[in-house]
Amino acid sequence: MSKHLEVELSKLKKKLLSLSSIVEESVYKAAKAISDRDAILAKSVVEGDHDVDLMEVEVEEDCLKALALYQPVAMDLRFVVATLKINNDLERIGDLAVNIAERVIFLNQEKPVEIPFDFEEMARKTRSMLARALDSLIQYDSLIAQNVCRADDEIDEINRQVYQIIYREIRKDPDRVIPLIHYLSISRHLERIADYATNIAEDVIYMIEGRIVRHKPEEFSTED
Amino acid sequence: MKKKPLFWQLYPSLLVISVGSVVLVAVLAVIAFRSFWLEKVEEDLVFRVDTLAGEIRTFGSLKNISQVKTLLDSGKKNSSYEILVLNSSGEVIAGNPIWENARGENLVSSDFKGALSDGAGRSVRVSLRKGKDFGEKVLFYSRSVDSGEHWILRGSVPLELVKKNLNIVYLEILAVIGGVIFLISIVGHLLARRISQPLTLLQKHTERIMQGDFSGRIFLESRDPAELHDLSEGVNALTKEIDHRLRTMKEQKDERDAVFASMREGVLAFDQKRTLRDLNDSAAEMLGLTRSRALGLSLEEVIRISELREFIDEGLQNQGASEREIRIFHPHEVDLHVRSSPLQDIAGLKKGVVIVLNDLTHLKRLETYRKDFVANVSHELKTPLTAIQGFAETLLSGGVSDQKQQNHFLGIIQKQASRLSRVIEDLLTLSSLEKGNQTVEKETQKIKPVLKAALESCSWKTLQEKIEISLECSETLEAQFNSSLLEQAVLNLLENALKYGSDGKKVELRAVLDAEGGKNEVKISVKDYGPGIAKEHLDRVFERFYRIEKSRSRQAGGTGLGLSIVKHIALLHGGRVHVESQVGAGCEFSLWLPSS
Repeated sequence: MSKHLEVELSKLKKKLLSLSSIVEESVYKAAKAISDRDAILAKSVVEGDHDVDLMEVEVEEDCLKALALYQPVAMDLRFVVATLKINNDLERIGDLAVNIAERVIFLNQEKPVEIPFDFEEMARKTRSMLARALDSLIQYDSLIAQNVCRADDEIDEINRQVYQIIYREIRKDPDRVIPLIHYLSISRHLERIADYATNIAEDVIYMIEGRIVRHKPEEFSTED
Repeated sequence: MKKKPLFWQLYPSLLVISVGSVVLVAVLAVIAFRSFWLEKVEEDLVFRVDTLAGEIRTFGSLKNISQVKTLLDSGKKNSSYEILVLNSSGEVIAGNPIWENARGENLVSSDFKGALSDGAGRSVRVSLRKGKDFGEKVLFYSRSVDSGEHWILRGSVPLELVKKNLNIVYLEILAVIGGVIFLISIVGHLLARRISQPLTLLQKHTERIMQGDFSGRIFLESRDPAELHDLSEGVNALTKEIDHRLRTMKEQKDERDAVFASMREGVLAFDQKRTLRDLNDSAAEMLGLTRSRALGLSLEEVIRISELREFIDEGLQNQGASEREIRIFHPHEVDLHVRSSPLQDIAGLKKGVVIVLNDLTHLKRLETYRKDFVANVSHELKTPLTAIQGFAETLLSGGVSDQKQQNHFLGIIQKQASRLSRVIEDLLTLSSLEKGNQTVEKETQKIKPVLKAALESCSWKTLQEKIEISLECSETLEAQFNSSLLEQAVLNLLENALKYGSDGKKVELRAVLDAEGGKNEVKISVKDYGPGIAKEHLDRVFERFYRIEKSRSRQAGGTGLGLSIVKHIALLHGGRVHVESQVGAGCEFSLWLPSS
């Protein structure tokens, strides 16, 4: 019986990883669309989200089936539970990528305004967090996951700074308020993607170690 | 079933054969001995009785019974032979009175009967007589004596004697058997050892080989059997051969691994179960993997880009080879040319796929440069030409009558013509620099004068823009360089600073000795406090015709080649260039020359 379970769990993991690749790509394409002001690329992100949603439902159903049929215990149970949660987080990240991509379309309708903060750097850091969270899942490495959780503070700080910058820019030139607000949204979306990436990392820690580390920021303070 | 050691296979058989032979011989001997002895005893009894009978005959009647008794007694001393005289009724007339037992018994026994009828008779019976031979087998010989009275002479001898003698023999035989067993044990043991010892050596040798140690060889003693010598020689030769072949295989494998590892192309191999079987270092780098951790992982865990994953899946399903260009973004943004070929085993069955990855980024970038360059050159040449043509045509068409207008137009034509000339000149300079006229004349000389000369060339601009250029350079700082080229490079940098960095109203020109990086270099830097350059442009500013903001630099009237020229001048001197900048914080362009 446990052989069947093994096979099922392995298939489940592969499906989850497939989904995670698609979502990683969406984030990448959304960021690129912003940098290049590429509306066509942005549209492909929006359209691709449909597949993400479908896959999310599939993964959830497979998880429920595994729980019902095999009643897994201990680490296997944690794995299925964590998969359910990560699946959910990934779908949300996909939605946020769509939100970002949609901004391109709005921005293109306005006068071109330069991004007043280092968007590419922020996007790169966010994508790196997501990538490493997924690495920790693939390699069952909770150390990598913990590093991801620590990195979230930086993104939060950048986001706060962006707010200040946007305020300043709006005051400087109120005509540019619409695109600047869009940029503010983009920064917020990136920050939330980083938060979801942190969630995924926490879920991985739970899966490996069985402890729940949400809401315990002191676990990841940079002062060790 | 546990296997028996050699000794225990030899020993029982040997033992059985030897002991069996001994026992057989013993039995035969005993039988022969026994019958011989019995015969002898019987013969003896018969002889004695007959002799006695002969002597008794001469006595005849009962009156001489006492003489008979004396005869009997004399022959009786210390002998186990008993002789009795009986009458025909079975009564004992003379002899040991103990033997006077039942007449009836005597009458019945066959030797007595025989003696009565035939004159002699013998029988072997269990004696019932009271006395020392009660219950034992006794040999009786009866003989009738014809001497007037009909007497029977009856002799008897207990066969116990024979038995006793035979018992001794039995013991001796047992002792021999015991000795034989002992000997056989020893001999068998030694024999078995003679064979099993070399075999044990062989076995230990094979154990060593299994551990991977091919260095040992078997050496047997001369007393060991010849066949085992042959065997050990064969095994030694085999060991050597295996060692040699394994070494060769390992060398070949190491060579192939080295080739595999040093290929620039990334190579991956997947089996039909979508598991990663092998990858080389280049592939690991391209995909952001660690080789040791990636081996054995599934396709989803290794490849994070869905397009690439789908391509590999297709390769696994299909029979032929295929290729595609895919852009991956994890871990870096790279354009890859991917090619998949089926992996086949010796029988021709498909075992998986081999994926070869080629990094096209460099090629693509070069192509982009080329395209951009061609586009830019055309543009830079066409723009002034168009203006010249336009204004010339206008003037020729006679549409401009006003002398002032005409002069104005001519002025424009002239300006455009000199701009065109500058572009072409810069292009030629760049071209000759790039051709690698490596033999550029260099002299060891002071830096400061060159910097000062460059400063003077752009002094008009500084006055115009009210920008202050500071100069910091020691009087003694010197290096080996070509002064006109260096002056041009510094001038280009200063002009850029004045053109684009004028917001800051201040420009710093500095030359220092820089020992960072291990060797002595002269670092010349131009720092401005203008708007700075965004990160994405920093890598590309030194490209030909690269413009950050096209509109602005066209106004400023540059050719777009200035920094390119600076870079090549640095390279010609064996140095390098670098730019540091942040948006809003100005720029610092640096040029390093080796100092000696």
